[in-house]
Amino acid sequence: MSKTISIHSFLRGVGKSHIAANVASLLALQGKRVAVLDTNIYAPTMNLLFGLGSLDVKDSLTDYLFGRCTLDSAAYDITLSLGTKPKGKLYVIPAEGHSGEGALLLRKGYTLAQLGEGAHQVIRALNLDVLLIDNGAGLNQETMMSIAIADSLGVVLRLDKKDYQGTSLVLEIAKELSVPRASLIVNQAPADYDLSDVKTKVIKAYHSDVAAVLPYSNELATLASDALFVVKYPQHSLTKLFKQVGERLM
Amino acid sequence: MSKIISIHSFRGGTGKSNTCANVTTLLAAQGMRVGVVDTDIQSPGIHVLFGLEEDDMKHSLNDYLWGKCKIEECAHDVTASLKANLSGKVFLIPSSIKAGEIARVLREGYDVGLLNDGFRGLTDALNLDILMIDTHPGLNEETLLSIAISDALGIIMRPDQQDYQGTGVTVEIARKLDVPRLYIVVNKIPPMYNADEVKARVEKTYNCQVAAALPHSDEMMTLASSGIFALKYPDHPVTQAYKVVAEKLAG
Repeated sequence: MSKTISIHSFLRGVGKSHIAANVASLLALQGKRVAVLDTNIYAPTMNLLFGLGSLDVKDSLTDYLFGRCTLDSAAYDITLSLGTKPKGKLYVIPAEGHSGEGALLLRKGYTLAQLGEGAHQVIRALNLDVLLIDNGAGLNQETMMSIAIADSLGVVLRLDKKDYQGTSLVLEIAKELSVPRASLIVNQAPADYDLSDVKTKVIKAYHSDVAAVLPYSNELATLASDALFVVKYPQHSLTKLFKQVGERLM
Repeated sequence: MSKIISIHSFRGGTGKSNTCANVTTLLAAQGMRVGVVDTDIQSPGIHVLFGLEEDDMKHSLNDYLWGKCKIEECAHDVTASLKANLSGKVFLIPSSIKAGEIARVLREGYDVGLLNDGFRGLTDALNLDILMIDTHPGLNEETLLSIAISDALGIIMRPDQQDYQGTGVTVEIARKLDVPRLYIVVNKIPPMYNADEVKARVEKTYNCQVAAALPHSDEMMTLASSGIFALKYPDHPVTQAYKVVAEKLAG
């Protein structure tokens, strides 16, 4: 039974795309057939993280939304980027290719139903166990659509006061949209904080499950978007936490 | 002669609002009357740094854009709440944090020209020396307008490949729009990088001055937007860097 996981956040720049990419990679390494859908049409993130050059991308989500192709034809098999011989499969559906038409699409708008239909189609066509949607940040029609079609929602936040109110809003809306399960993912916790203490406090503050509390990592900050953290540092404690997030969201 | 300074970034999470709040406060500490407008209607955040709670928000920018009030009625004098005996003034025009109001603006849009009128109205009504615009990330109608009317633009970026391309586009556009003073601020530099090297590299890449190359700061992260860093850590190197940014942008 396939699962659609949506990774979301109220604020931008909290680490959503890194978490989505790394969690997806670990699920594929565990033997699952996984596709990552980058919906950040304005500022695509997955091309860089998965080493997809602009010349490699012919079809993308943007092309699908313009009605030029099916969503599965925009899926690129990047399983080999996981290094070793992984048991599963990893596809990435980039937000945009080199057409540069993303901005135009956003101005024209697109039918939200297309997102839901595309999700169903690509799951069937690629026989996916998991469709992981890297959502845009904030509350707007597109992000709410992605939340609405999710079986499982991961809401990323940092321990920053700007995040607090907005994250509550997201959880409220997830409830209204009847998302079966929602978990918080606390990212970039100061390294000297007691992570289990943080987890307890966050659970209490939001009355929500917390998939994991990820500490701020200098290695991850330095690696940034140059490569996949879990591939470069397979034994790192942060990789184990990414695994935990994946398990929780499944 | 009042000045308009925009703080912008191509992507989110670069530290734009924190930089804006700190520069605003430092300019007010020099005796200036500074207005700061949160135009990031989708993800309002700077009000948190100034300690303005939802219950204390009389009117927001949203109310002005819907014609419910005059722009100056949205201004909140937050100077006293900073508890720093500033010789100047800080007036904050926040965006609404109510889900329904955010949704409404997203659904209905708003007249960008009205925003422009609002900026002028604020400067006149509050007799501002400086108007700081905390922009929405990315390049769209509103941010292009803010950039176009600015006397100075601070572009915030992180040393992440994701930021490089978009920043380049922004710098190019700012040049085409003839922004008189244009600076990049590189933020959240990991400790393994040499900040001076990063500064030099970014300056060379964009042929644009870098006002500051700020290393990642644990104190900043722990402060977590609960207050103004420059007030809490007046002697910190990051605060000194913010002072340089403020001077360069104010001209």
